[in-house]
Amino acid sequence: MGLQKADLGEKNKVLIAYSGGPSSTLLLNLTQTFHESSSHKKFVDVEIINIDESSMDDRNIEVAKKISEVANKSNFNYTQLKLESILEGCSQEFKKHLLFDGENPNSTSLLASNEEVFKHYISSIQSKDSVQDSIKNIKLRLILQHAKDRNCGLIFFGDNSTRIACQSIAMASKGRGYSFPIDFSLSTSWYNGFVIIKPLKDILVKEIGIYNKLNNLDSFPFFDGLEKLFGNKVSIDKLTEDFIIGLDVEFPSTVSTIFKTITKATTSVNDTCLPCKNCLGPIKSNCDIWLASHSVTRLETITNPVEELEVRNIELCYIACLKSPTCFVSIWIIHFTVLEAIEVSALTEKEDDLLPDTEFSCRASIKERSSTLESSVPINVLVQLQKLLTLV
Amino acid sequence: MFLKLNEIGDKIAIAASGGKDSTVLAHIMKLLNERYLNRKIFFHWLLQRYDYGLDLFLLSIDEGISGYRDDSLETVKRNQLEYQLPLKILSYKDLYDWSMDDIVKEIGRKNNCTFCGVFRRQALDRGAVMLGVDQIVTGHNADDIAETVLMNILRGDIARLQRCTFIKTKSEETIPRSKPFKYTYEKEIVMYAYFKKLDYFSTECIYSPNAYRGHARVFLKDLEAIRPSTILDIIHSGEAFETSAESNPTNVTVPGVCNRCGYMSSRDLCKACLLLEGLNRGLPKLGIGNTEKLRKKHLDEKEKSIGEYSSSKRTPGNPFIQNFNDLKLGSDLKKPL
Repeated sequence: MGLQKADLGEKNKVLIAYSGGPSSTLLLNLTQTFHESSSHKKFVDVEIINIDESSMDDRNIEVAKKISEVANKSNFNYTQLKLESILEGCSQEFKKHLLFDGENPNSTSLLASNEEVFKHYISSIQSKDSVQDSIKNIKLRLILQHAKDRNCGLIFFGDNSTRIACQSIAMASKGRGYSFPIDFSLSTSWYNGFVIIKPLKDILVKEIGIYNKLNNLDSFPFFDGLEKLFGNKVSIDKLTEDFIIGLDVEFPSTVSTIFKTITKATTSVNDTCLPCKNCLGPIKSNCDIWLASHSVTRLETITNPVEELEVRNIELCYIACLKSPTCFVSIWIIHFTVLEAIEVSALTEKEDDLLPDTEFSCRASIKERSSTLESSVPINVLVQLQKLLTLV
Repeated sequence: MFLKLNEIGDKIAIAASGGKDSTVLAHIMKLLNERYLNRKIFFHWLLQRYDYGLDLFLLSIDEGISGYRDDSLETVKRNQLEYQLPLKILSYKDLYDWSMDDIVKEIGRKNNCTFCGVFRRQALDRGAVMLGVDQIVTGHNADDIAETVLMNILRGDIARLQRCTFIKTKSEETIPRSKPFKYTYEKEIVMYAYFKKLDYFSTECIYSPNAYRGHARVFLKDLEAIRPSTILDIIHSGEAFETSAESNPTNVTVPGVCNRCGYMSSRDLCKACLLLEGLNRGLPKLGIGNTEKLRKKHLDEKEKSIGEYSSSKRTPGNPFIQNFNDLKLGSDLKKPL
């Protein structure tokens, strides 16, 4: 599959991201076979992680149980984390802030559970796309954190070529073409030094389905629960998937053509790029200049002179913060403190400037989140901020 | 933008189809050019740097699609009178001995856009040489560019994917082309044309509904309905892709010329000549899909006849098209009345 020995490193621990779907089921099965049949073990040990999405949809409770049963049957260490575990370690005060609906400060309970806070946060997001992006980012962050905790140098993802083809078009549509060489490579060490490998990237979903059927490998598709929040509203990811799958029926080589094209695409991305604080992907330099030259979003809508003054103050603070080593934290503090001072509508106009260290596509996603500023900030960024503040 | 794309005093051919994009483009080019040229007369010392002084031409290609192109060319002719710009019309029939109607009769409704696109590109370059212009400007808008990025990913054209977002072509082999409306949404152009009451032709090509591009277009509109910034986001993605020359300077392919017609080609035989040969032989699908073997085979067979070919011997029905190097400034320009 084109994987070099150097990619695997010397006797590393492997973490398999197991979702219960057909691809990760096959990945688990193949890794188990490979690891156990070999007399000279390539890996020190193998662990499994599953992210339980029960908080998104109650039907996932059963799915999570079945996934645990299958994972426990393997001889590997298995961990199941809930989505809301991203909030672990956060103070009650911080959770209360997340629960605050902007109207009645007494309405929030003092001892809110992580699940409650998480559900509230998700329900406050207005765009289906943004929810999907948030969940994706939270999952990645949880997996990376777990890999760090368990000292796993390699992380296996079960992305297949059909999924990659659909994802690539969706991500190109969101303006994320710059990070293609990292997002769709066979292996990448971009994410904090962990080597992420996608061993099934050359295999079509159809082929995986046939293999699983022949080998009696059961998979458990989970529910994203978004129909409750957004009804049948279509997201970019879903629209793209339907489009590519439909096109592949009429033109059978569509998926493989897209897959080959995007794996050949090169960009100027390299190790010196800054990571996005939201999605952890690489940030393309000069995005701000590009946006400024091709958009007409300005603060001219502000008519109140007091508001205008406040915005200028933020800009001054913002410039000062950029020179500070803890600028990211400072900027988000400003982000919160200005909430009461100025109209949210005025601030959202300026969000591009208030969201430094975020990747181009994340900015659009964050903008779509909500009309209220608290929920416009990604929860994973908030948690990171809160932890940083606790350390300070 | 205007000055960055054009040099002062350039001769510019505006690719005019009679549609909204090219009509607005011609209108704006004419407007800006005259606005700053006139100002120079009165405020020479103050506004000298704004003196565009462009020499503008309209260049139209008649693909020979009855019920569509003949009507749109009438619009171009009306615009020519209004804007008082010289107009040059080149037809496929004259250039290749095949009109699009004839081609569709041969190939059918599928893949006919491949012929049209390849022939039009070359026809525009031929027209530009005949007009002696320094640059061609086209009315491609942001929606078109985004659509092309998607199309190039879908059909696996990595080379075009990496260069389709250039606002101005970088090749020194051909006449430069630029797309001043690269960041302009289609809806903005329509609104401008509507409010300025411009005369444009708004019918879709009668052969295009079956094109593969139609799928990408529908998809793009659906995407835009979900996220209005999608079009610029796709362009942003497209701009991030590097050409092989940018990512690996040692891996630069030097474009050559077609052995038969002298047009720029990375292979011995250009795509237009291959398609034309297929049509003339009664094998219209000859140049569609992977054509590497066919090109070689065909070149070997025709090597002798190419040597005998001379542009002066061209007669109707001759399968060869006029050599690019034999093109000269045309004398049949239709002058404004």
